[in-house]
Amino acid sequence: MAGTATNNDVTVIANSPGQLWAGLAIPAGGAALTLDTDGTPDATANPSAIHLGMTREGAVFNVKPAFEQFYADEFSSPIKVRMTALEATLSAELLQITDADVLQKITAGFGTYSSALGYERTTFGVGVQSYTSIALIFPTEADVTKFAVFHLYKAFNENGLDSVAITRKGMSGINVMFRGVDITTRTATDTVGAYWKQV
Amino acid sequence: MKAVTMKSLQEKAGKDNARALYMRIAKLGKYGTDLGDFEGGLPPLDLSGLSEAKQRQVEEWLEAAASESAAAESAEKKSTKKEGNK
Repeated sequence: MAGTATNNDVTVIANSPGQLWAGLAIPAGGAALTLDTDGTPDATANPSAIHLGMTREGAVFNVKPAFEQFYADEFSSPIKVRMTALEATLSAELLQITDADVLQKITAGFGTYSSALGYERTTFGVGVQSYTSIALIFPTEADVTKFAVFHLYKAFNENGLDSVAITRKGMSGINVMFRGVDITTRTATDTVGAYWKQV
Repeated sequence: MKAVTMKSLQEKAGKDNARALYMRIAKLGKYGTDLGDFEGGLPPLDLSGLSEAKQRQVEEWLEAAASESAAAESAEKKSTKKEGNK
């Protein structure tokens, strides 16, 4: 007889600030976002990538399945379950709200950017719904030269510009929530996004 | 080459062939073909994760499309020149 090993390991607890990136390239099926050794997206593999800048309190990633539960009269607990929906989101409060590149990413679908001599502007109205490929990248605790990634391949900000406060006492911020949309022609197990880490 | 964009494909293969070539690459690498509008166009495809054989295939397609586009362009120039001489 022997005991079983416990699994207490602080190096696998995520505890570092991450970086939010949008405009990323789509990875091939079975592949992952290409990173440089510094943990930023590789610039030649991701020619349109932009950094979304600072956040107030970091970012939150969610992948929430919804399950339908089936019951039989003879039993009190479900006798089987089936996943019926999957919500994948990446949210944060972005601070750099007057950055035109950042605004373009978060107003896709209802904001149209233009510039002329002396100003940049975003007009609001009905636009073409467009998407961005977005990721949260952070160093691992075990090795700061290795990185972990939450990636949504095709996402849009469903929060719009909500409660943007401009005040003397506080820093501006916009709460964004990027919702992942399925790329239906990818492999069924890999349609919306991925979490992976370098080892 | 680490990524293809519609812009890079248009420069290599010409505007008419770029979309078809993009979709062929998207299918080959299982990127998905219903990508939709990403900030005003199709998103870049990261080629780094493709196997060497698939990367070679993409290079071959790009070279073939570039020479096809160059041939079409020179034929067009010749015909314009002929018409100009009439």
